[in-house]
Amino acid sequence: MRFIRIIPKLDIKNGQLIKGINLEGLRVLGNPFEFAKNYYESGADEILYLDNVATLYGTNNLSKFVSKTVKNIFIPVTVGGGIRNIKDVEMMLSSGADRICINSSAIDDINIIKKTSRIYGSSTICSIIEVVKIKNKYLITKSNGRDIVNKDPLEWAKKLEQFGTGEIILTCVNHEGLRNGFDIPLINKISRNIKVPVIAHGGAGNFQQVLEVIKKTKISGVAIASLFHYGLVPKFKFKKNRIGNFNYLDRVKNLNIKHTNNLKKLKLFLKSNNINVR
Amino acid sequence: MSDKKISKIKIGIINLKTNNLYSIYNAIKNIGYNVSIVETNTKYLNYDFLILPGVGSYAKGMKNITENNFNKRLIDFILPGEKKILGICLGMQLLFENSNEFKMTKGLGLIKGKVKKFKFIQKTIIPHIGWNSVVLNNKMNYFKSSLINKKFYFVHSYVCEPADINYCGTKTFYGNKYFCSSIIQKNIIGTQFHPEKSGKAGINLLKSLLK
Repeated sequence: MRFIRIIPKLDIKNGQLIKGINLEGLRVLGNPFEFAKNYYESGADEILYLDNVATLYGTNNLSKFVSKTVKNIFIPVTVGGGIRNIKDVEMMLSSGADRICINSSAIDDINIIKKTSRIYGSSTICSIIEVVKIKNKYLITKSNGRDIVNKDPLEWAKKLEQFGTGEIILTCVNHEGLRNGFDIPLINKISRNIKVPVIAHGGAGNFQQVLEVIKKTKISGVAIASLFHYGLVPKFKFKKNRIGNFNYLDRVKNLNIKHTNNLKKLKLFLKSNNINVR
Repeated sequence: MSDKKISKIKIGIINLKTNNLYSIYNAIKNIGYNVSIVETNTKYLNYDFLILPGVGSYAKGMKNITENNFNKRLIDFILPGEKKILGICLGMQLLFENSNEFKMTKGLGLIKGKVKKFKFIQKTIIPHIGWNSVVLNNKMNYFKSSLINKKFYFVHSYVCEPADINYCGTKTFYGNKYFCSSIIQKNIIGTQFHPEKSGKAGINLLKSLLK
């Protein structure tokens, strides 16, 4: 039985952990380090950091986060958002990132995948494909869902593979943040037709849905945000700079809810269903 | 060995520029050792334990290691057999004679054998990314306790094939067969997996290697 990686996905904006729905409507959830450390200690197989506005603003500010994170987290850290050239990749890797993910700049010029995978090895270079379903047709997007690009996701995945990407993180924008389950037909189609590992992202709402996507497709892992983050929100105090949408956070703090460690629980659930997880 | 003595061990991490130095550096620091970064223009390798970490392609790694004749000083460091070296991932592969990654490239040649692309039944996913178990191949006493029933993190498309199978310390099952996932040849140690990325199990392994 293949091994499945469980990967908490942390979206970062202005130094804060944020979360949206369909990659939009971002709300602040807390301090990313506290979440990342908790995930490490709870048995996460990897941490995925994404700077959501990097491409939009033409920045990549994650490097200082990465170097702080890897000081006491000894699992792989994959970083994406605003990676445009070899220099960006080098900076992220020297900050302590283990793997880099690229979306927008590969759509602009796919040669970045070839160039960077030649230098850093294809296993270091990961691609994100953001898929959006419009009138029953699958298309891809860039800039974290902001711009629609007229490319077929499977054709694009094959091309990325051919140019040397080592892994594909498949985000289903229509399912993202809704916690209504995964787009199984899409994930199935991509994961059964390419050789590099596929990580499914977008839609994990409960453990059963995660089990379903593992059983019905050929994915190598699942990236999860909401299901893990929202469980932990009540655990941490958050006092930092209050930039962004704090309505949710303030509401939760006032309710005095108990936190839940859904990562730990999910792994136990998957193990009890004979899924090979760490 | 007392704690005081342990802390005096001089550990160096070789900077091949394509490496992710930070994670191994932090892991060693976290265990409680002093560690420094060794640039390839360093003349005297005044260390007790060198670590050759690795991310990147074989050719680029060899190009950087042969810069300033660093490879020769490294071989002089290792050959007397008193001081240890730990190659991680690409670092382990560089210890071998050659690799056919992209093109045939000569390695350091400290261990007899070659580095080859994974060859599997068609359905196996390459690169091999993720956590996998290791099986002890011989009486590797000092790996032992920290390896059994543990999973380690792998990221690679190429595998080492030592000419003498006795030097293969552990094997790991992937696809439809086992490959050599670590080597021990006297003072030369190599792990295909990343102990510095393997959570607590990896930290414990590093601890036992540095003792």
